[in-house]
Amino acid sequence: MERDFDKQYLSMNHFLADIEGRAFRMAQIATGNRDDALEIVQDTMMKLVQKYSHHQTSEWKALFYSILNSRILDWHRRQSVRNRFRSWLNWSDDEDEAVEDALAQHPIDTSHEPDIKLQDSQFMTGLNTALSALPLRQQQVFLLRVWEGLDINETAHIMQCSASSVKTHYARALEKLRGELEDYQ
Amino acid sequence: MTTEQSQFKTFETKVKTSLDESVITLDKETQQALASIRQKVLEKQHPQSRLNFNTWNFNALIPVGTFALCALLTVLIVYSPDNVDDSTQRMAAQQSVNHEQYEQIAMLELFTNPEDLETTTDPDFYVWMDEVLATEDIDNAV
Repeated sequence: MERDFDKQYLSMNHFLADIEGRAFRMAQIATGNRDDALEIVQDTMMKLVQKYSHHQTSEWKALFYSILNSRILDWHRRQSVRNRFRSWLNWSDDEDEAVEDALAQHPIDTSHEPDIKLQDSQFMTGLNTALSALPLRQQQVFLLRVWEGLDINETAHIMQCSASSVKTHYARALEKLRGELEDYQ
Repeated sequence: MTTEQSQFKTFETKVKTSLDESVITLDKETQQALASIRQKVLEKQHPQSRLNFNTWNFNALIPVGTFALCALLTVLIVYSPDNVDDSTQRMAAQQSVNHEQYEQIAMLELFTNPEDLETTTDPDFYVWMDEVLATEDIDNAV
């Protein structure tokens, strides 16, 4: 029994070590905030370990992303409520606005640099901005399909929506991203 | 595969490569924070689960042990040798009381029934009784 438990512990450790970086980036793209992203990843890991560690290893990935997406959705809901309160109370967060302005007005350098690294870096920056600008559902579907390589049904299961919705979200996300990143390619 | 599909594939591959790279190039501080979170989560679960397992075994034994103890005490109290003797004596005493009560009731019935009382007080009854008994003795002798 003890050996089984240690084996499960090691499997879970390996699984989380493999997925944590991607989970963090997904949360960071969705929230635009490092600390919030870390908190979301922590909550996700905690719930997976506490509630679902007894499930089969093959199920962990889908469960992990279900929890992660749910946490990200919760975060957006909370933010939306907070923003509503802010607008009622006429609070202005100059710092946030400054950051948003800086991102929005960030000049896109379309000059063709000979340095490939620089091109990649520009593509990454553009990709981050474009992904963050996508509606949440499109963003999540796109990342699960392209980055995690999940098929339509797996993605639909995680997102708790139909396969046709996944196809629609994915097609729209792809179209927008290609349009946004045309200059970087 | 059409040209457009090929372009889509190329774009997807480029996006994936770029995202993978963004994970590899995460700053040291974030990487450490993620590793620390993972360790904390696993450490929190690991000893707790071991404890839970032991506690589960122990907890499972509590009701079973209590039931066994109660059953044992019940058996000892009910079927103890003293109690068995007492109950036998009690039963014998009860039977004796029952017998006396039966005789008293019979006497009471005899006295309360006027016909029976008349019969027992009539001297002719005893004469008749002697005759009957004498006849029975002769019959038995023959």
